[in-house]
Parts: sequence; structure tokens; C-alpha cells
Amino acid sequence: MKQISRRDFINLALAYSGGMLLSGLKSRMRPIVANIEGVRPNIIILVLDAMTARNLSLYGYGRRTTPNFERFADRANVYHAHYSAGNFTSPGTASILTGTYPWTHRAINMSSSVTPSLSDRNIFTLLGNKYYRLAYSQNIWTNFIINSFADSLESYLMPGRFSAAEQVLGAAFVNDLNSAYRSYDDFLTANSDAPGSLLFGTLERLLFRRELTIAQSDSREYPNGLPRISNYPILFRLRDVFEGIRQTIEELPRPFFAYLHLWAPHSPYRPTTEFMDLFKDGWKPLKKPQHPLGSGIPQSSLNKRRLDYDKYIANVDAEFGRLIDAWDESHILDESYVIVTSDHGESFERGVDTHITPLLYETLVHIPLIISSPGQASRQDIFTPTSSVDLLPTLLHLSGVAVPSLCEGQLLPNLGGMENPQRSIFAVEAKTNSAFMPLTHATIMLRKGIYKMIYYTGRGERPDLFELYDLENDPEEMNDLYQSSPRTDSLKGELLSQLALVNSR
Amino acid sequence: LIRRIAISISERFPPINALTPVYSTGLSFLNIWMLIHFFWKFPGWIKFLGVSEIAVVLAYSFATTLLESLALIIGLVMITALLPKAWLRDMFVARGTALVLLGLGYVMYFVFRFQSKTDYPADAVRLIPLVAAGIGGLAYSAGRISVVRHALESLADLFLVFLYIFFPLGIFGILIVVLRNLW
Repeated sequence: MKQISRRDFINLALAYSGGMLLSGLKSRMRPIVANIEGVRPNIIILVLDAMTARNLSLYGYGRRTTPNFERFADRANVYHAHYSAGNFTSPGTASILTGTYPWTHRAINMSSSVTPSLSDRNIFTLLGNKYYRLAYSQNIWTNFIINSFADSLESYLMPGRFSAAEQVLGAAFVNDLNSAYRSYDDFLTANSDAPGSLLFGTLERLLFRRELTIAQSDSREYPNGLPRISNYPILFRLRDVFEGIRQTIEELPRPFFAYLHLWAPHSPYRPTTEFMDLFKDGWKPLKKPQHPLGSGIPQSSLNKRRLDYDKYIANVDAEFGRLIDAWDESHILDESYVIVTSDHGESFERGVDTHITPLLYETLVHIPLIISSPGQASRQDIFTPTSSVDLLPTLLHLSGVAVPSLCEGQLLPNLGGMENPQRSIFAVEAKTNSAFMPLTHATIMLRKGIYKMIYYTGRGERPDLFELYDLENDPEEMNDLYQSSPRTDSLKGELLSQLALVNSR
Repeated sequence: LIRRIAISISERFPPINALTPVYSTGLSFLNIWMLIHFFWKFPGWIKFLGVSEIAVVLAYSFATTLLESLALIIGLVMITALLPKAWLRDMFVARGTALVLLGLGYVMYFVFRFQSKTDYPADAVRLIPLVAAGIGGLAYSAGRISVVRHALESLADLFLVFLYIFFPLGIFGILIVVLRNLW
């Protein structure tokens, strides 16, 4: 056997250490190298429905609900004052996808879609065919919006994909999805109302019952029943859905843009057995007064619901952790912008359960936003207020696409934008207002600096009402400063002028 | 032999002039149910749907109701063919109308018990054979009591007028649905 000389040993050692150094550099610099070579990073938006930032330990919640989100945040930009533009799916999602506020996109009613003028001004169309574009939403109200943009998608997964049982009839009419969902799933075979089709609707219920029984035959995994979509016949296992999107993303052609909208942790809150015993801690949230526009639900019931919600979030967090680990291993994180956010929040206070309410308190509109850039290795915290309308311009900027003038958002700090603490951010609730008329039955929120003003108008016999909070010193919104703050007049003036402006269009 | 078999089979089916009023009753009942629920939803839809979008929902609904009514009458014809002639075929208008009205009435009750797809009115389901037998008995008796028989035949005749409204609307609905789904 040939002896290794001293010179050979030194050469080998140098070559080995050089190789190790280069391989380390390569993994850290992969996105930069990719950009130099003209390969665009992928973009993944993961929307977790009805996930308020207020119940995530990542944002300082009293229960440790999100250890895996915290782990992910160690390599991401964490936005601490991020707002949805509405308090339920339609306006919240439409603002993410169009970069406009509800008064512009007009998806203000339950299950509504955006105004036709935005059918070619949305994230899918604007990014163009430089990306392989995929959309998947378990929430059919989101599909009502995406269906208007379906021509700009290379791949569009139906809401029942990755489900344990589903019977969404409208999905069979792929060329006319909105009308078919509206006709069949919202009316003729409606889930929660009497079906418009007396015979087929009844028959469909009986058939779905059979499927349901088979899907739920093993109650040990989900003691409260399988998670399901409210109002639509879709039941699923969280693990199947996360595993489904993991696999789908890994198999997509590069570069891709993927919009993934998962139902969880939206109600009904149904965690697996593993999470049922969490948080037996006796911890109680701050008791807040009932709001006159709330639903009058007693605080003790709300605390119980909150506990279920927290357990379900912990369950979602665990699955999210598995997903991120898998994407780390398959280098998806090194090659992609991964954006984790929600469409709106969830409330268990002031007599309000979930989010069907005219209120716009922090629990309902303060949502998470975590963005991991390709290969990002450290955490950046951004505390200035941002909005869901900022995502579209930011992603267009990162992709080298011009931002359209209609867009009402700004570039996010750390991703091309600058921090602007005095910027005005709005949220709108107007589900009883006609989408074709000026906003006269609405709640409008203005966040500016440390202040937040809420304006209620057209609420039945009640006179118009303002509230003002100092979120720096009163993050729980307990002390209404409307009558006493020197900032009241200027904020009220700005809010009312903005409303007058959008109503005059 | 084939001719005799064909005649024998055709003799088991109700004649077309008896079939039409019974079909009209079912078609009208199903369309009226659909329209009541349509107009119940209408105030919510006009907040965010244009007139043409609502009209398309109506087209899908008329198309579906037409298919539903055809399924109903085909089912009834099959039952008629299976039963002895004296049970149903001989007084088909009165007994068929009674069966349609009582049967759909029970389905209405059943739907009100079946509040959502995840609820299940097990007791109402268990009673289905009993209720079906009861409805069958009532329909048979209706044919034997002349006042009731005449009332049912008059009612079925009245429903004939709706056939000329709902049937073309159903065909038009099917055309709209097909055209919208071709491209």
C-alpha cells in the first residue's frame, strides 16, 4: 500500500477543509447564487385561517401555544403589529390577494368575490407566467375570490383535496366554479339551511352521512370528531393536509408561487388526543366588559372556547413544525420566500365568540406575519404597524415586477420598504352593507402610531360611535380615550375624510 | 311473442294522459319549494351579486329541479309497473298525486329534522318504512273514496298549467348550465 507523504497529507487536508468551507458557503449563499444565475426564488404564502396573533406565544401570549412558530421565527422576519384588512375571510383574503382595502376590492359580504376590475390586478396575474402558479384553499369563501383569477393559475387544487370525506358538488363544474358553488353548495344542497333541492338535497345529506360515519369510525385520534369546514361538507385530518401540501410543494416546477389557505385553526376546534390535555394551568385572560354590539356570550363560556382554540393552535403548530423541518431538509426554505400569515383573527372577549361580529378589536384584526427569506439564518423583529395589503406590493417588488398604481399597500420593512411608524393602516367590517353602495353600515379601524381609532356607523338605531385606544400603554384596549385624548380630533378627521373619499368614488 | 311481451309491459305503465298531471304536481311542488328558498336567500345575494349572477343561480336551480322531477316520476312509474294494476295503475291520477304530495310532504318534514349534514335524525330514518307503508295505504284509500279521488284529480289538473311554465324553464336552465360549462 502506498504511504501518504507529509506533502500529500497537507494537500489532502487543504483540499478537504477548502471543500468543507465551500460547501458551507454554498448552502448559505444558495439564494444569492440563484439570483445571480437569474433563477427566481419560489414564493409560498401559507394562510392559517382565523389565527389571531394574540393567542400565539410567539407574540407573547400567556400559554405556550406555538413553540414551532418560534423556531421558524429564528430564521425569519417577524412583524409584531400586522393587521388584516377585515375581520372575516372574504375581505381579509381579498386584501392579501389584491393589495387593496375592502372599500376597493368590495369583497365585504359573506362569501362574496372581488369587483371584476381586479380580475387582472391580483397577485397571480401580476406575477405572470414567470412563475408556476398554484392555489389551494380549503375555505370555499376564499375560492369564491380565487375563482375570479383562475385563468392565471397553472394549478388549482379543489377545496376537498387532502380531505378524509368531502361532498362539494360545485367543484365538478370546473369552468363555472363560482356559479356552481353558489347554486349547489350554498343553495340546492346547502349544508346548514334547508336545501333548495328537496329530493337531491335530502338524498345528498343521507349519502354524506354514510361517508361521515366511515371517516369518523376511529374516534381515538380525534375525540371531538374530525376537523371540518363550517357550512360545507369537508372533513379532514390536519396531518393529511399538511403532508399533502408538503408533497405538492416539493414536486412543483421551479420557480413557483403557491398560495395555500388552510382551514385550521378556524372553528370547530378539534385537536387530536395528544393535545387534549394541554393548558390545565388555571390561566385566565383579562376580563373585559361586554360590548353593546357583541353577542352577549358569558365570559365563562368564552374562556372554555378559548382553551379549545389554544389546544387546536398547539396542534396546528406541531404540524407546522413537521412541515418546516421537511422543507428545510428538501432545501425549500433555502430556495423560497415562505410567508406565514392569517386572513383575520378570533375573539373570546366582550361577549364575542369567534369572528362573526362588527367589532374590530386587536383579537380580531391583529394577525401573525412571519416571512423567511431564502436561506435566512437570523431573526429580525419589526414593530411598526403593517397591513395585509402590503404583501402584494412586497412580493411584486421581490420578483422585479412593477407595482400597479391601484395598490394601497406599501413595501414591508426589511423586504424593500422602510419602517414608517406614522403610517395610517385601516381595517373594515361591512358585511351588512351592499357591495355596490357607499359604506354606510360599517366599522372602520384606523391604526396610526401608537393609537387606534374605531368608528361604528349605521348600526341600527344606535348613534355613530367612536373609540380610541393607546396601544402602547393599553394593549388590551381597556381605556377608551375618545373623550380625553388630544389626538382625537386629528384621527377622527383623517378617518372620516378617508371614508368620505372612498365613498365618493 | 316479443309483441306480446311489449304489450304486457306497456300495459303495466300508466297511460301518458294520466302521467302528465301527476308529473305536473311533482314538478310544481319541487319548483315551489325551490323558489321559496331562493327568495329567502335573495335579499342576501343582492347585496353582492349582480342580476346576471343571480339569474345563473336560478338557471342551475331550474335545471336541477327538472332533473329531480324526472327522477321522481321515473321512480313512480317503476313502482307502478312492479305493483299489481289494481293497486296504483288503475286510478293513477288520484293515487299518484296522493303519493307525490304525501311523499314530498314527508321529505319536507325529514329535511326540517335533518338540520345539517353532520346531524342525523336517526329516529326519522328508522321510521321511513313505516311512513312509506302509511303513505301507500293512504294513497290507495284515496282512490277508493270518490270525493277524495275527484279532489285529487282536480288538483292534479290545476297543476298542469305549471307544467307549461316550469318545464320550459328547466330546459332553458339545462341549456344555460351546459353552455357555461363548455368553455
